[in-house]
Amino acid sequence: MADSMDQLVASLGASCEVDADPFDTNKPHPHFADYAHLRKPASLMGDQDKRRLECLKRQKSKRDKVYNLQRQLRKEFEAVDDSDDEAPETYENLHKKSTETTPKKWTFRHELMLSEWLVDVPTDLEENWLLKPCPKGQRMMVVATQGTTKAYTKSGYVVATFSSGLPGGHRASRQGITILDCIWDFDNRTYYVLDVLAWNNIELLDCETEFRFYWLKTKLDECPEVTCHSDKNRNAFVPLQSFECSEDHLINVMNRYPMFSEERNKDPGLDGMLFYHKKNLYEHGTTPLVTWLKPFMMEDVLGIKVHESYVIERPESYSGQAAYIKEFEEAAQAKKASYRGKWRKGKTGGKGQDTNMDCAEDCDESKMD
Amino acid sequence: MAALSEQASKLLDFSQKLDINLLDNIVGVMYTGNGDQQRVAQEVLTTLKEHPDAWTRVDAILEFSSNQQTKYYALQILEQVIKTRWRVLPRNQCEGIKKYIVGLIIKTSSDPETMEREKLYLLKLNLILVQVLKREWPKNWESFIPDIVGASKTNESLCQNNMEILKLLSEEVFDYSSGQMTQTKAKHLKDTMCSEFSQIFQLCQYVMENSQNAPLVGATLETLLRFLNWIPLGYIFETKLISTLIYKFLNVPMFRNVTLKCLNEVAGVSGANYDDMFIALYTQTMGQLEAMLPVNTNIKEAYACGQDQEQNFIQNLAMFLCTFLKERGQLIEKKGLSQELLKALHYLVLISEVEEVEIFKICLEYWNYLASSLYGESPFHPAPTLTFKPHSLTRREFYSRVLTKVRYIMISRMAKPEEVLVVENENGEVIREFMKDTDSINLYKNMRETLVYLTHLDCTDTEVVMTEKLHLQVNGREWSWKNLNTLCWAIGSISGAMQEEDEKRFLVTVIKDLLGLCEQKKGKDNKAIIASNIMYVVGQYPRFLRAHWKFLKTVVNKLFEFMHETHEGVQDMACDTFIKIAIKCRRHFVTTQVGEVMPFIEEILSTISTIICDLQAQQVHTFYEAVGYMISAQVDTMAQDVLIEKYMMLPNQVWDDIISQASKNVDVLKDPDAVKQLASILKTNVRACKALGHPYVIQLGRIYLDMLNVYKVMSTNISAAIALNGEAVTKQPLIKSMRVVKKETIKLIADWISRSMDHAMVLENFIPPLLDAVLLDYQRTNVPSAREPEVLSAMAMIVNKLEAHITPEIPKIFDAVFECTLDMINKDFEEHPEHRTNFFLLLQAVNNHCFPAFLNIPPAQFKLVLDSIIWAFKHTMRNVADTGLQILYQMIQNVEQHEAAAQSFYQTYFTDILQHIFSVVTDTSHTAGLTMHATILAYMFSRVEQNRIKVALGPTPDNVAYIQEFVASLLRAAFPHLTDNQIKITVQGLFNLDQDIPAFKEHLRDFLVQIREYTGDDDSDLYLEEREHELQLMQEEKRRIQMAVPGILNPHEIPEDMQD
Repeated sequence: MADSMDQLVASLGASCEVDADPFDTNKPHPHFADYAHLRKPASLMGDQDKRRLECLKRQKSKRDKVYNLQRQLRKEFEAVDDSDDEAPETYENLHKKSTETTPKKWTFRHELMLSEWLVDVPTDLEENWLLKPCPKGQRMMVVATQGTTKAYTKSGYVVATFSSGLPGGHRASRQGITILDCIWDFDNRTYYVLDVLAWNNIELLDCETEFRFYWLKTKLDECPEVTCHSDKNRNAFVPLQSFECSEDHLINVMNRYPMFSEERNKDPGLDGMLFYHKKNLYEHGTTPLVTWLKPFMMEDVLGIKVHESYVIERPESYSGQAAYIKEFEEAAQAKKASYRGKWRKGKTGGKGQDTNMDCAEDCDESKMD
Repeated sequence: MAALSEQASKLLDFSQKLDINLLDNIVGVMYTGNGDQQRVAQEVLTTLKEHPDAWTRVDAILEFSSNQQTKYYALQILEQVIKTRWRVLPRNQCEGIKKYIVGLIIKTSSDPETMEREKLYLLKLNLILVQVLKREWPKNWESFIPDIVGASKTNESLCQNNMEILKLLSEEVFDYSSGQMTQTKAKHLKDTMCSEFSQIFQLCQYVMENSQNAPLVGATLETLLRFLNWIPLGYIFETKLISTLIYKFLNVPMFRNVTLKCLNEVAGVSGANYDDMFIALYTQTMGQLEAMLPVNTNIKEAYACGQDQEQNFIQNLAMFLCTFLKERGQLIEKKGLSQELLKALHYLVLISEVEEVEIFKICLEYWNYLASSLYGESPFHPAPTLTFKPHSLTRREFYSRVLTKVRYIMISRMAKPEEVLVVENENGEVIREFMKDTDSINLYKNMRETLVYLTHLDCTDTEVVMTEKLHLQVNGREWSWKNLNTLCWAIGSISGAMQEEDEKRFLVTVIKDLLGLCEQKKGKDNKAIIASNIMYVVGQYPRFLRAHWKFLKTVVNKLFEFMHETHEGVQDMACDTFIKIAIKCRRHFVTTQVGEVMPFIEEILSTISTIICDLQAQQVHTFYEAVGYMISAQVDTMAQDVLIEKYMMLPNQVWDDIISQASKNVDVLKDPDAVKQLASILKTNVRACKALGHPYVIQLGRIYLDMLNVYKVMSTNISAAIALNGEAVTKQPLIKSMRVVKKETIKLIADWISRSMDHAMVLENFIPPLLDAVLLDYQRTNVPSAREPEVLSAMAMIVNKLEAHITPEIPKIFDAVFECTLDMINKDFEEHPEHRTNFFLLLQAVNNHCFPAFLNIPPAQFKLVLDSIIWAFKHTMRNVADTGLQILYQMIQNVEQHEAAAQSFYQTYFTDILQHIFSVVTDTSHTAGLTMHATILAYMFSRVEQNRIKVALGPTPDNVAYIQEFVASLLRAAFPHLTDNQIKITVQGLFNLDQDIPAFKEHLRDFLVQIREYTGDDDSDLYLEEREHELQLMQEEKRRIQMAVPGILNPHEIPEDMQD
């Protein structure tokens, strides 16, 4: 009977869900979850790596289409490409909007780009990914337009209206629209800016991560007043730094404490690490091209030692899983070694990724069975 | 139009001959005209109808008018005069009217064609005749029954209409007599009718046996149907009536519905000595039925595609079977007629499948009765093998196969447990309301009760049926959202009915299957429905959750996950389930469970911001309340305070931030977002207080003074806005939000005080600032409508809670609220209804608990208090009038405790109060307060009679004589038509019965019937209260029985301290 209860608990954790995405960051990390059921090979859970490639491919073809349209090649394009047009609906919308010159009509519900758990470590982590440490706080979409600035929660409820120095966000600047993806730190009344969707009427959704981050940093540097508090700028906007994902950089970053401020009492605390693919465009909803780890998972997943203050933050339930993790690690030693080896190898050679990946999957399955 | 009114004035001139054409014309305009013309016509006709001599024109109108509508109008005039002025008409005129109507009826009904053509006209005539009969028969019309029976034999269509008259008379006398006639009169009529019934019965019998005239037979059966519930039993059982009904009429399609209704009436009468007749009735009816409705008929389909007549037949059959089996089922069992019994049950099972909820309710009532009676005879499951009666089945065994079918029906038709509505309230906030007491919830309750009994009778079978239905969901054969919901409501409904071990095993399979289903189905819609159902089922079984911590924890973590899911309805479901579970399992979250390092509440509190970040405001409030319940289970005060501090950290941060900003610049409190946030924080606090109770004090103390300051600022802002822009400004969102802040502040304080447990602490620390801030603000608010009525209800609540402790503060409270509120409500009976209600509730609270405060105020002010009480019970708003009467009764009793004050009170107010009470007693819009009126009057008269009043109330020293004369002259002045004798008896009765309130009330009620007969008011409402009371008693009795059966009450209805 006790067994049957354990089973029930496990399958409740695993099967009772509305959103089928096992990498949803609102659920526990699949490798560290309390649910035995989820301890199956990643390939059975959705194959993050493969989806990343598909995603990039789709984004690329989407951009090609847009360029083609802009080159007035519409007719030829339609004749050639109409048949295999299976792009999702969201794409269709974007596609239409970008061809007609009317500005995008923003709705503020489910607009944010959300991450997945980092489960399959990408083999090109070092060359193609950027790391952004992410402070504790509430995720907000900040929209500055028509002279006021509003903050929306993930699901689109306005929770604050104020004046900001952002273009479009205060009385003296009613023209244009600026949209930022932020984390709200209540204590310091600061919006930490993760990403930018639009700046002063220039839409950046179809720009690659690297470019968006660059644009964001340059633009915020141009108007230093938004980083301080004032009557015109009621809350501060501070850009979050991004880093390359080489081992040295990672170790360096993970040993910074406090992460975001020199003064400990002004630091909002580190919530987790976001990994952005450099070529990724800004899309709505979850994407495998942005992934998430809690600081204390860095060692288990990437083998990076972290500052002891971050280790302390391990939840009790996670420590409670220590025994399991150990067992899991032993069983999956080979797998881990190959992953780690892979992206470190990438530093020197980085060839033959595809074969490596297949091999990883194979050994994955054989170990778990 | 002017012409129309001018002409019309001729109609009202009774010295001229009536112009029939003109009248026809005006009636025509009234029915077919429009606009002003129609209005004028209406006025003319109403004026004419109300003219005391109008009835003298009726005969001419009826004779000469060719317009049906004009004739109908004339009959209305006649009815009016009979109902209200019969007693004052000269005898010969009464006789005249009587003869005239009878003549008309005979004339109209003697010819079948005329009768058919003028059906409505005739019906009205019949009704008028019955009105006459109620006043004339039997005293002035002894021969009525022989007359009508005699006349009936002469002509078939006349006979048919006479049946109609007898039916109406039976209804008037036996069904609707209460309140329309004095008690003695009703009894007299019933006795007369019974004693003369044989003639009527013979007539019916004669028609049924001999007539070939179908409409006549139909009318006779309809009339008989009305008689069956009161006639002496001999007529039913010692005649051929039953077999005539069954053999002659039941199988005739035209008569079968009314026949079945008659049989249903017979089945319901209590005749202990006629067992054999009942058996015969049953077997014969079943025999006939089988021929009419073969046992293999698919009744569900037949009903779905049947005509009205056929559908009625199914309904009547359901009623007959249910009545018979309920009343006589045991008799049939005793006689060993098991085949016949099974046949009836078989029909009922088939009828229960009909998709018509009214028919289902009829069947449900019987199944409920059957299941509860089988359970009731041996609540503790007897081991079936131990009965040494191999030849005979126990009752349970006999019914077991039928009950399996009933289980299927209950499980596949289970009603929705409760309805949640999302509505916007008057302050523009979106709130969720639980619909209580709708039809569907009652259905759910009855079905759940039945299913719980059925589970007690055989839990394995219930389990088998539910499991089977679940498999049909999993394998897709019955898969649909509706079916899944229904099944899960059924599964959730039997919580607690099984033994704990059985329940556990059953639940494990159920949840497993549902999880499998969730995994198997694709799409968010499907998954959301299944997940919601899983959570519903789990939430219904707190006993199971409490016994399995790991499972409980996983469920809660799942719910937290769902709180991020933006799919329609999932967040609501998660929050609702979370609070249900939190209430029932609260203790388990504050203790460290096996295998854990700390109580789970710590984990929740440290991640609270992450959990709620995607929830909407009202969901966050629910969440906080739920967590509050958990913390309330921590018994160690120190530990609890630490938890509370951590729990309120997030809202307190926002609060502190706004307050500190406001302390630099008070205009921050005009910022819409800031005001909204404050309102939301206060609501969070209200919910926290609701869950925590007294221990919430630690948080209240933290924000109390700031909160009162915010209250004052909001109030000033609102008043300023109104002064600047007029009252319309209160509709603006910002002003509405500011009022929400004020209301929530008052609510929070009142809620906490009502839960507080230390009067001295409350009085010393919380009351003085409250009085200074809130009450003074109330008084100084210059626009009355900007005063919050909640201030008054909060003060009432506080007085009720602190009782005599707060007496010293009463003058201060009254200074602030009494006059300014009275000024708002003494202009009429409607304006500011909330202030009105709450004002009197406050007065009541003070009167109940702080009466000595009244003795110390100046006489002028006391008079104001008493006047406002009298004002209260003159309201037609029932709650206000009731409060007023209660205050008055309590006050007279309170006064009596203070001898010196009492005498001067009597001298000044006694006769005044009497006069005012009599004015409401005799006012038709105050009938609802009759009991209370009677109670107060009886009490006052008994004071006089027992010589408690030492001072002379009038010029004579004898108070009894004086008051009797006072009341008599009061009544005489108000009701000049009453005779001196009537008044004398009434007054005498008021004194004689003042020790017996029910009798006093009956006496008062008879008096009212006498007045109303003259004024012509309807008086059926006089007995409403008794019926309400009776129903309520039955309800309480039922609940008392239910409490003893495990599982009958929903786990969420059971008072908390009985478990966990």
